[in-house]
Amino acid sequence: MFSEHASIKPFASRMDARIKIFCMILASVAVILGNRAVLVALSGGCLILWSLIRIQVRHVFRSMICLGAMLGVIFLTRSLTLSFSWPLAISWDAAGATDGLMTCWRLILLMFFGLLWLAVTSHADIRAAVAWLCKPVPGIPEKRVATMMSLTLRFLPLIMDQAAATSEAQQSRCIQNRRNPIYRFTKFSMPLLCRTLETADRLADAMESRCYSENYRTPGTENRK
Amino acid sequence: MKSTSQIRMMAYASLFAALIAAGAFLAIPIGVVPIVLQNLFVFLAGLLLGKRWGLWSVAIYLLTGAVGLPVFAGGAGGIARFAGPTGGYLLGYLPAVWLIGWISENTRKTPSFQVAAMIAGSLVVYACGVSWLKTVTHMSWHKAIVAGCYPFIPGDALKIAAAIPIARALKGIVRK
Repeated sequence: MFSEHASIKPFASRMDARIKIFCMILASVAVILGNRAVLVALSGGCLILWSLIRIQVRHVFRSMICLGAMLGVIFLTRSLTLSFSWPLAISWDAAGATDGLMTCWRLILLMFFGLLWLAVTSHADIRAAVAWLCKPVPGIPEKRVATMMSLTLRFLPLIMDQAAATSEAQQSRCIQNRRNPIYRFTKFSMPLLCRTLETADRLADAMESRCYSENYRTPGTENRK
Repeated sequence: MKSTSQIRMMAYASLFAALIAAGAFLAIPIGVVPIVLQNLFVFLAGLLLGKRWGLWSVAIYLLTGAVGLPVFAGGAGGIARFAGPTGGYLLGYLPAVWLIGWISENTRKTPSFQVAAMIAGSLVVYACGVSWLKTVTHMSWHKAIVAGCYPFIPGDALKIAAAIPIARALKGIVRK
């Protein structure tokens, strides 16, 4: 998912990230507020963009697993009515089912638009666009926001690697035989947090020794002036 | 950037933002439903970093996800996520981490106050999450609470219980 933008149509990836953010916001508002005709039009547009950009379908299905479970719960709770008086009875509500389907349709469309945006925008462009968007907002240091976003993305793979290593180490010590969930939580989280905090310390020392300042050039947006 | 401490806290806040993002993918299989660690890291951000930097870490996490980077559960991102059924829980992290940080900064650092802070934070997350779930899906209050609150209470209780020894152990490592 992180490197998908490398394989898409050049025009969409070259477009300014700020314009794409604006388009995303517009599309999101239309999906949330639109009626059935608007949803049909947006679904058609989304399908055309998908076929042009050629997003790999397996990534989408992987992302859909969690959302699918949530949508299933929403649809069932909207369409089934449970009577709590004795005898217990479950009845089917057709109007609720229609509303549930519409809600699920909106949510799936929102997710598809999000994936489209992600597929055609690089991380550096996103950071630069965020710094630009934060600039006029008083009290928000935009360079710090961009730096913290970069650090967050830098830490993510490191945490996942260390989590895998910690998990393997715990399994080799037969942690799965322990029934106490708090013990398992603690023995997993504590070494993970200790190691990652040490990494953050080293990074802070490195930034300080290189005289880190917030007055650096943001890649992308400033260069395009 | 004015002081060493500020650079360090910025690195810690970014680290906790990354931990919150990774927490959506890190699950400990206990019983039938695996418990994800996202809330645990939100609690720890409030307890260890305080209200200001805890708020920064959650805000950076939400902003990173809002602009489309795949840090939300399921590897998805985008501002549209906030309009989805779980949007309220995500936004609820902001007041929750502030509240946890505020309580932990303004009370004695005893486990009872830390537990109270995390319970208050969880209540804020549920209040935001369930009311948004009800609004988005047009469910009744009862159904929204059944679908969006009850199933997660045992897991949250475990996370609160685990956060106390973790916060105590890490207090010496976090250099403010």
